[in-house]
Amino acid sequence: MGSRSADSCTGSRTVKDRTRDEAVEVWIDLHGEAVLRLAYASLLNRAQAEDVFQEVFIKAYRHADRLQDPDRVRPWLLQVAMNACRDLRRSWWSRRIRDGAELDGMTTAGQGPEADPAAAAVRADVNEALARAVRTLPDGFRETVVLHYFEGLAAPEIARITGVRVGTVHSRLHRARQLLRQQLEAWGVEP
Amino acid sequence: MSEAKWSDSRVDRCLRSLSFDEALPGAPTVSPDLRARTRAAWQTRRASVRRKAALWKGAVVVAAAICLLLVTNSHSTMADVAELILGIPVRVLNMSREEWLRQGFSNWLAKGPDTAFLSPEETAEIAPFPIRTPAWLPEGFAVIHEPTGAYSWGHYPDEGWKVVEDDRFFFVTQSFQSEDGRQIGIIQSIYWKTQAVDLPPDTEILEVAGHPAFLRRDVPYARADEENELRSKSGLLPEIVGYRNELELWVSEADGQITQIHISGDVSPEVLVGIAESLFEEGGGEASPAP
Repeated sequence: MGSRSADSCTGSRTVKDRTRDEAVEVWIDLHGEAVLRLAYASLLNRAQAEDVFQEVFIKAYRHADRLQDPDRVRPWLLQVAMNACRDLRRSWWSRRIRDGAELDGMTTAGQGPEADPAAAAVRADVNEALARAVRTLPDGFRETVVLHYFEGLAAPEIARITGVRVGTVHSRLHRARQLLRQQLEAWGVEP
Repeated sequence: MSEAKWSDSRVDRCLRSLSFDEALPGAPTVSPDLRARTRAAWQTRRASVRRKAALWKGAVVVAAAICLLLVTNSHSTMADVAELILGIPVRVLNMSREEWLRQGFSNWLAKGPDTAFLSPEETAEIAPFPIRTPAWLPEGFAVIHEPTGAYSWGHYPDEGWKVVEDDRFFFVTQSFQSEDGRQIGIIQSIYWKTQAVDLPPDTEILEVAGHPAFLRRDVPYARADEENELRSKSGLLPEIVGYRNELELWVSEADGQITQIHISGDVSPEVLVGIAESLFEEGGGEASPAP
């Protein structure tokens, strides 16, 4: 067999490529929304969530050969998403804000969830108030709540995805509920 | 205020009845466009990798160098990348300033431990980058404090506040004040390499003294106190007490490391640029009082 030129090597997809690409397309169908939702819950930023989605599935394309066990795919994708979110959050911009605040007791605009004065008024509707309170949970707690309550994952799975101990997941869930309770009570929302 | 009391089990039940869309409205969905962009990004990256591999295998050195250059300069996989600066994809976020502000203060923890600043001597010894001081300041400004360094505090959900003794968390600060109370601050630190950098809307990308620089005009600031922390936790913006201009420089050092120099103050962008240029002038290197 003669050697292939660089063009023939890069210009067309091999059978192996096709199989791999098709597998990833299926994973996007099955798990794409979960990845995007987790990224958005973590970063509260649409553009960054979409960037994370791209990074996750580019990695999936690259490692598709090694992801043979269908049961492993979803946790793996969510774990990669979590890591990508963490990297983004540790970026220069968010760190810079913290440094500035330490310098002189002032801080400038950084990143976070929506906040407008009218919407922050006391809310009669429990669901709406609870939703707002979830959005104000600190990083780590918010993601754990999303994975547990909205993605329906158990503590061991969440521990694997977020890279913490199972006990930590339980304590984060407990602490998150405590924070939500305090927030709802502070807003005067009736149970 | 109401005396409403919530139990843990009640919160648990309510969370179970809440949907993701209710909790986090506005989340993006897997659109055909996003799928297509992801696929295209993967194909570009795969082609780059293969082209590199093919070149390494057979091509002559000169041809390989040219093609490698082409590969390196091929478009990034990130969406909406504005520019590659010092090899880092940088983009200015396409959102309104109001939107940016609304995102601005979440997870904001005003009360951190006091920063433990080192002496100027210790700072000079530890700093993992050259400490630069301006050779020029606008008239009427005097030094408040010489360059002093410290390790940043980080807040961790499970561990609380922790000082992070890592070069990447080390920063050096110096500040100046005018007779009428206006301030200028300079913070230097190592650039912490990330996949990409998002800049706030309206950031202007410039070149200052041969270095890439990012100018942001009228950046609002707020006092880091408990009241404002409570406001941000309640979904309100902290009280904005003023606006500053900010200039950020990325300096590529001889050893390949990038130093970030952040200059901000109650002065015009032109003054910030003047101060930045003077950091690299002959005679720079010692903080000097007002001329």
